[in-house]
Amino acid sequence: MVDHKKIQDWSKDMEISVLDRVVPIVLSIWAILVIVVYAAAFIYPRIISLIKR
Amino acid sequence: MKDILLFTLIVFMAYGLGRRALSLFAKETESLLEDIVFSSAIGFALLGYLVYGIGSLGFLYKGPVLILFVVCAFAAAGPFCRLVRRLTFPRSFNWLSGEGTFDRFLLGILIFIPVLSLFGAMAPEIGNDALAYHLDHSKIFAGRHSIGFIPFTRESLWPYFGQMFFTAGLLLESVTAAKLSHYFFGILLILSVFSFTRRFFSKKKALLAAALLASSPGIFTQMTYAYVDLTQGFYSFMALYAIMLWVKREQLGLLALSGLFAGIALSVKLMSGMALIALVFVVLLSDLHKKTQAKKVFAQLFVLGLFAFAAGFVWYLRSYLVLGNPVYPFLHNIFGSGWETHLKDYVGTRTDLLGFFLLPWDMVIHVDSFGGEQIGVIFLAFFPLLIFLPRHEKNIQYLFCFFIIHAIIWYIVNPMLRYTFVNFAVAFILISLGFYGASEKYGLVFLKKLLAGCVIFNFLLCVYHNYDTVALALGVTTRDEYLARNERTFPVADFVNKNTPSDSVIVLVGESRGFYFNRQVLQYGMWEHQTDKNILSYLRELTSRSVPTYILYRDDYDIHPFGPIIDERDPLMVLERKVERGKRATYYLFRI
Repeated sequence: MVDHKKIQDWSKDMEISVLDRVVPIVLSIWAILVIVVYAAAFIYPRIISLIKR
Repeated sequence: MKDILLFTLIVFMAYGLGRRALSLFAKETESLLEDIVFSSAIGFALLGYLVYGIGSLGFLYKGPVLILFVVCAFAAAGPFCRLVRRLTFPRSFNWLSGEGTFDRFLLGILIFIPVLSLFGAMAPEIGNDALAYHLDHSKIFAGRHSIGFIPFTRESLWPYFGQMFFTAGLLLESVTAAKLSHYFFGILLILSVFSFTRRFFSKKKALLAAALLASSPGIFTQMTYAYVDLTQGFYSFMALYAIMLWVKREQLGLLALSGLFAGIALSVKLMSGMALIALVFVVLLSDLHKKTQAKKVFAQLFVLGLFAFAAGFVWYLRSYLVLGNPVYPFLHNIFGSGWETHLKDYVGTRTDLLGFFLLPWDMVIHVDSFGGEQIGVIFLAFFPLLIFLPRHEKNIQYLFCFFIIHAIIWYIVNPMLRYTFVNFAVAFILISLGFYGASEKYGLVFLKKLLAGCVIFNFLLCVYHNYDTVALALGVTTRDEYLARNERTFPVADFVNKNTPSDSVIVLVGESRGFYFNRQVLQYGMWEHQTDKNILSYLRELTSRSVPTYILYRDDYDIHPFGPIIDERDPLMVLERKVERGKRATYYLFRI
């Protein structure tokens, strides 16, 4: 016999909460932002000076 | 090849000697790797002090050092053979096998970055402090067969444990062996981080922490220089490792061992006092958890302090006995010897409370303001993952306690990035734990790819940093070509070495790098600090005694009394060199 209550609980577990969606996105945006700023502050001036050399 | 063999022999001796001594402090080690890092730490400490003992007695000749090496090799043979018998392929190297693609990628990074850095470590030295004193003073020690004060130097009575290996290497005519010692302390630091994280957390986390540390630009660039900061970082980390084991097992020997490692770190650099203070807080936190009686807490701190003192006091004592100041030239107001230093003025971006909280940002983005080394973009990009640390876990609380106390003192005293390599290690362990903590909860597939991308970028930086040295190793360029391109003083020193009598005295004005001069060098800057005597009358005195005397003047240095000589005489040499990034200066050589 099918245990409907069990299936209901299982499907509840499978639901993705808002936090589960938001946290990876926020972390990724932060990491990308840092990488972009780092590239602008550190890598770009060095590449320019290399080209000039 | 001779250099590598010589250094391999030193490593083998360090392990064997250390393994014998380790049994005094700890009953067992959990793994082969733990055995290797603990034994090597103790063994190198013994070897360093043996060289210092011989040197301070004035017996620093090839003969006594070779005899010492032979005796040590005999003593090390037994434990080394037992180590070889314990090695069972492939079981002993199971930890090397990653489980997934990401792990295998990290493992590749862990192998390739040290291999690339090895080329840099074997190339001729070009690091500023190495040429100004680490290697330069070691060369003088080896040349005069004793270790002690060198007149008109600021550093020669500093804690010089790391320099003992440079001295031994140079005595045996191998700059490469000297440089490899610092490289090897970097390798030991990475291995100890792996061993520690695997023991207290998991192999997966250990692999990530070790790979992040190895790919940090500050670490792999330092591995190629004859500095002492990785030595300091390694012993400070081993002190933390031992204290974490003590918290777990409560064996007094481990607490003593932690003190011993902290003392060796103090024998490398005064700044290691930060690690000792942070360790005291870890002990107090563990006692708070265990509700230990106050009397017992004092006894524990006494043991920790006693062993740290025993392992480190000798360097400070000799400085006090010779110069009247254990930390010469610092704290001159207290000891009356030394001078006002402004080292901190050039480091960091701020000095207020806000500056402390902005540190993660500032030290990654404003890379040139923290001494030139870099922790790398990964630290800042993945720093928020620390929110996902399982805060209830006591081991994490101890790690975090060490991390934060060390960071606070470091920020207040002198936030030069290379003084805090031990916290690089702790930070990457915490980031690794946070990363897997968050991954288990949220997946973070994209973030994992981003992390891998950043690691690849750091790897490319490592390639960029070392490609010149790979070309040198492959014979595409020669040693002289490499040095002429990368070291500002090399052509100048080459001219001096070829065109002045061997008993000449060269006064360096505005230049601190003396290593490539095969002449007696006098730093004018130090003369100014250490004597009231007029340097011009001293130089006249030298010439009246028929000592060939020269001034090597760098024209971006303004405050000096040599104006009449520079204006009136024709220079023997004029050479323009790039002295810093985007800055050129001209060197002039004058005969007095």
